[in-house]
Amino acid sequence: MGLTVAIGSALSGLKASQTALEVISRNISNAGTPGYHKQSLNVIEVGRGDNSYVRAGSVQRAFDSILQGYYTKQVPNSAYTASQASFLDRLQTVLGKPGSAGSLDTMLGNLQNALSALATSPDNYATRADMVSQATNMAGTLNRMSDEIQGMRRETETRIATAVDHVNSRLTSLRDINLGLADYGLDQTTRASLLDQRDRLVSDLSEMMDLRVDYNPDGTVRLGTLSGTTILDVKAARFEFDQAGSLTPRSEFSLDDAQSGVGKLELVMPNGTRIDLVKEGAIRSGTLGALVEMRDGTLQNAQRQLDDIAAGLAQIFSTDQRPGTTIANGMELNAGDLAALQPGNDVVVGYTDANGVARELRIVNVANAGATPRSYTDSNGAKTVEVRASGEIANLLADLTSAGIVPPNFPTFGQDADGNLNVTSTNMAVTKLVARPTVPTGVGAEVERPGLVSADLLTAELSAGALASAKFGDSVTIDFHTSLTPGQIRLVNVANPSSPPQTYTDGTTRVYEVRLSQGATNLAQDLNEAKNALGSNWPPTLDIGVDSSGDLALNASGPITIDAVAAKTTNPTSLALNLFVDSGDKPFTNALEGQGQRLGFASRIKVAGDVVANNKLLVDYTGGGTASGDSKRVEFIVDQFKSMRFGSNTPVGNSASGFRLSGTISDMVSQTMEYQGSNIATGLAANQTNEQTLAAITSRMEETYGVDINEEVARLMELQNAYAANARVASVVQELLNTLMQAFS
Amino acid sequence: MLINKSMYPVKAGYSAISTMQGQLGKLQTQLGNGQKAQTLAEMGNDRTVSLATRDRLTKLDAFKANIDTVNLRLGFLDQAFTALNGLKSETRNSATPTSFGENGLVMASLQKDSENRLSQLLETLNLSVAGRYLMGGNKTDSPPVKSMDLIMNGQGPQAGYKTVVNERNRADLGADVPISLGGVGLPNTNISGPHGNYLSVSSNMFDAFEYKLTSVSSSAPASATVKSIQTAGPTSNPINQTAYFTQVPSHGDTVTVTLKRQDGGATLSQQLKAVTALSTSPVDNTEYLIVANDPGGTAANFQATLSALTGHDLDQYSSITTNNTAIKVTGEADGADNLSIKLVQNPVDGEKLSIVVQKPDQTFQTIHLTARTLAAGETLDDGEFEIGADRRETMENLQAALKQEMGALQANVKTGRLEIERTGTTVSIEKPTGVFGFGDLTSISTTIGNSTLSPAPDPSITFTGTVKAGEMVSFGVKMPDGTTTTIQLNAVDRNPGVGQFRIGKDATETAANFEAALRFKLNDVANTELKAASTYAAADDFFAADGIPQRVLGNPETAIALRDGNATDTVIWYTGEIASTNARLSATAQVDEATKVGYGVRANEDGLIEMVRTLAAMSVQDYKNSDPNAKGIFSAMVGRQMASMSAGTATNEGSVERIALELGVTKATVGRASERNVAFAGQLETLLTGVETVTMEETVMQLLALKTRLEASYQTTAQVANLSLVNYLK
Repeated sequence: MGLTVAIGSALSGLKASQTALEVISRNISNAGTPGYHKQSLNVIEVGRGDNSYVRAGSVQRAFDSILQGYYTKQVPNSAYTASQASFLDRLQTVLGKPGSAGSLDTMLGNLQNALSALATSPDNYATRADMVSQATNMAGTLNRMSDEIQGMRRETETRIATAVDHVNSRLTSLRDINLGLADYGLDQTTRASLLDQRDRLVSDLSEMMDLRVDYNPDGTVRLGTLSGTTILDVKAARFEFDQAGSLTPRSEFSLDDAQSGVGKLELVMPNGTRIDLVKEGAIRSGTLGALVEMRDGTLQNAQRQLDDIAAGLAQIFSTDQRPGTTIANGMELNAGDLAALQPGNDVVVGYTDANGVARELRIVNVANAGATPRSYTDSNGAKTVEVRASGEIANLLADLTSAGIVPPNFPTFGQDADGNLNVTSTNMAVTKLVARPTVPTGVGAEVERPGLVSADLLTAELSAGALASAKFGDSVTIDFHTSLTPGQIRLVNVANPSSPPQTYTDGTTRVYEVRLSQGATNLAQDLNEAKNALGSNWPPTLDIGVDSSGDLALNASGPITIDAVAAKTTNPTSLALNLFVDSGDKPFTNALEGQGQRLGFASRIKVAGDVVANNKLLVDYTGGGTASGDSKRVEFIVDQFKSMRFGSNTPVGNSASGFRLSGTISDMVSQTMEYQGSNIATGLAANQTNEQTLAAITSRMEETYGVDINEEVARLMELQNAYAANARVASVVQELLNTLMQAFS
Repeated sequence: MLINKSMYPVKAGYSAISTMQGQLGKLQTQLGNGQKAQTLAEMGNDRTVSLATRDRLTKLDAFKANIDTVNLRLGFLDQAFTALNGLKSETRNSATPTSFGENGLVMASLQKDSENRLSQLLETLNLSVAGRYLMGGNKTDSPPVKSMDLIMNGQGPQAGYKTVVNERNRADLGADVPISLGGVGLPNTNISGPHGNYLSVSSNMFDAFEYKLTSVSSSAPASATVKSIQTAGPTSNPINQTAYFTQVPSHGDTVTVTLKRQDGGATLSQQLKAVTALSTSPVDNTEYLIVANDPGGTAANFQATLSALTGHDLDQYSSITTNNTAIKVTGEADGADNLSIKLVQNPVDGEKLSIVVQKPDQTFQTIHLTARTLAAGETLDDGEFEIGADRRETMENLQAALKQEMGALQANVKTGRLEIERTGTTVSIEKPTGVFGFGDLTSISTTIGNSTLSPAPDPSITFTGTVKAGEMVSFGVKMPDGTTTTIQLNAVDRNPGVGQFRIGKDATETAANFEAALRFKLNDVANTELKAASTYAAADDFFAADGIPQRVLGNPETAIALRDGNATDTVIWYTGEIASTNARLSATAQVDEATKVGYGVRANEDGLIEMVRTLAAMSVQDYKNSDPNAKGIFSAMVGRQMASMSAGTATNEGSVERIALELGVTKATVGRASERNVAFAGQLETLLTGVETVTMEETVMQLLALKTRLEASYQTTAQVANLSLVNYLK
């Protein structure tokens, strides 16, 4: 080995040390830089035989793809629960602790207390005013909670929009990095820092949503959704979010774009293909996943529960109970009570089946039942069918039949000649038959119920229900034309008509005093007597009678055409009261048409204007004639609080084991608070778990990627020594060479 | 939210410290407010317990509020009913029939007292607590009963109770039946004296028709030497003192007569001696001649001797007693003024007796009766009587003339709508159609052997022979207020009083006397008891429980039916709730999950309305000393008051006592519910405290432990952070 070899080795050692120092200094200076992966230098021994020297190899960047994958999976989960937790924390503030001022149970308790005090002192203005103010507070609380929930939903949309911008900018950056990494001419240091930047961006993106990350051998990265849609592969796809504007409780997500009321989150592929990420279920986690889940799930579920409570509350006050009467083998319900049913109101049939099990059947009134009426078991366990209950009784019976409500599993439904509904069975005991209409607003107000006139204007029909609900003094008017002359007949409902019925003219209207509301037989008899007594004074070709359903039937021929037939009835007095109403003072009937009246009712519920204006209505159920100390109405309502049971229309939570509210209003409030409370607690706990998991992974990453100053400093010392040693070798060789040179000179 | 911690790595040790700090804060908050959980989520499993417990507690709060309200009202009701009970017993004890008090003081003050009580009663019935009237059932916003003034006096076209009473009284008593005094058996006269020469004319019973005998006098023609007709009175002292012997004494028997002077002067004592022949010398003017086997004749002699001894005026003595039970000297006195007429001797033609009579219209009429000796063919004119053979005969003539003259005076009789008819010996009573006056005749009975009866409802009696004194006839008759009274007539053989009839010579005369006496009695009962009953009936009419007062239909005197009154023409005294349901349930309160108490009271409940009626009736009736019927009405009114206020009514439905009792039971129920609720609330509070609040000691210990750990962590972390190789490189 020659001296030159030695000096060559020493120089190579010096060079390697210098490079290593470079790496160590970079490590130390970047010790606190986020996302910096520690680097190390590979030192290579080069040489053959005696002639070997050292060379600085490539700079190694600490990277563990398994750990990275683990991290990339955990980040969206943590982000998901963290976002969720921030909303849930706010939601629980909205709901309040049980017993705290403004919480639902406190408000309901206050309302019930006010009601109880009112039952004791119905004559006291202050007590009534207190009741109105507690009712207003209750409605206000529901409104406030609903508004806050909707506020949060609106915020989710804004945040989704921000997140989408963020994601798009990161994707663009990542695409550029990919291009950089693909360039093999890149120097090592730059490459390492590009890789650092790549990992930062991937982490950042996975915080937003759950991603599939594939690392190519050249260090570039491919991103895709878990469902397989490619987000980034050379070219980047673009996220687009079309904000829906102001969200209301009635704006809900729907698979049908036309019906969806919420913002649309889409992925636009480089080739222009659009994918709806929410519809596809492509985003399940991450901040975006949490926001979508909040918007369409958690928050809207809370809204629906509030709606259920609001609906129950309104129905407690506004539901009239109209029980049927007992007949042989069953019970009978008056046609007028059926006719009083508004959309969403129901008839409850209680019966003991052949096995002695008590069952309940709920017949819900809808405008259009469809070919196969919907039937299901409601949250209180009652078999429920949605049929046309308030119109023609024939429709009701047809719908029940097509829904399969027929013996032997159910009692027999039928009608009598007066148009009354009867429920009978020979082997089952019918224990209960009650119509539960929502009371119309305004006792004694006049209601007009038009009948059906055929297209050829020759036949007309007025349902038995419209007749049965007539009070004495109410009337039916029939408008007709005899060639060009208009005429009108009015049938006035009386308790005891003279025989033949009294007739007179009121202006040009011919008036007959008959029994309208006392059954078809009586009406038919009175009409016959009137016709016979009048002879030719009766419009000769106008036939009037009662058909088999108890409906008033008109048949005209010749010159006579029928223009209209209508019953004018006055609203009956009722103990129920429309205290809580929908916007515009519209009664809440729980109509199911469309999205259903219930959806978002919590945000619209208010105390009826007429009650606020005149709090005597809280106790006055006869339109002025109630004694001041009469607490019948209040007691009726107190009783409804105890006896009426409600349920959610739709389940919340996991649709598989969906949770539905059921029971009395107090139960529902408790259930709501319990459900939300435990839901929130679960969410918050999950967040903590995920935070800890993430923290564990982060620690591992810290160990694997992080710069240990002590280690680096120790290495620095080593290098210092090595450098000094190499320099010493060089200097010794120099001295030897000098000695050699001097020997020659 | 920073998720990507790798960007800003924090050592695990530091994050543990921040977690501990968070916990420290939480513990501090717990210590501050004592609450275990600060948020809904933190409550965990306690949430369900807390919700359920709070639900119950809220309900208990409501019950407590109700109980407080109800207790306040019950307290007021309790006071009111204590007052009502007092009022009832005070009313009951305020007067008894026939206890008119000193100088009629009780009688005079009863009306005013009753007015005061009624006013107090109405005040109590309008009891209100914080604007809520408690005795109107479920009508609580207005006083249930009208003011006293409005109820009694009415307003404008609305008649008050006084008007209703007036109408009803007129309807019940019926129109005046004009009749001569003879028709009611007046005047009552009696002939007595040893020679049938005394005549007493009783003014008793005249005042029933507002007649009065004011004076009597006599005059003789100038030719007459002696005034044969002596008169005295009117006086209520005994007159026409007459001696009666039940057996003739033996010769030599002496009797001591004690005479008390009317003017209260010294008592005179005289001894008289029975002799068979008068001593002639010396004349012993204390002797009287006995007539063997003739007590009457002996008595006449005794009287003549006694009269001579005392100055010929026995009438100045109020009582004359003897020590011999067989000898009696009695005068006539029936409690009222009597006129005394004596014939000292048979009068001569032209002697005249004058009696001045005050008539109902306060004018005076003098009845002159002149003695006449009739020549053959002469007849007596009006106001003349024939001089008979002896004084007895003359006196009888005078009596007949007097009866005719005075009996012809006209009077108005109230028969309470009963019609009395006599045909021969038969007297029948009939009740014409109509709801007023005496009601149906329910019975007739008699002890008269010689009579036949036909039964009620159209009773009659036929006299068939001699009637004995002491026998009687009685009718049961219904009164307008639903009570029944008995009208009894006793047969007497002397001057009949009210409720007595004189036995006549024959059945026809007895029947006539009976008819007159019956008419008189009916008039008397009509003016007293019937009037009282009518006033009470008017109270039933006016203070109607169903809110519809009854009024007399048409002219009261001729009316035969009632009609429904209305708010336009009659004051409706009670404007509270009218219902047939349990009054207690007209106001209810829930005091417990399963307990509902009723504490309503209606002022028209039986007991209360009865008090109002009684006191109102008592308030309208006044008793004037000058009114001859006052005492009769007083007794009848007070009797009814006692009946309706009697302690026996306490067990009746709706009586003051019953209501008070029922309210007491309610109060007890409320009290028990309250106790239960308080106990229950206590348990729940304890439960809630256990669930929701922290134990101070535990929290403080946790806080201390945490603090120690935190401090240790700080120290260690700081030390570890300082351990760096860099520091040791020089």
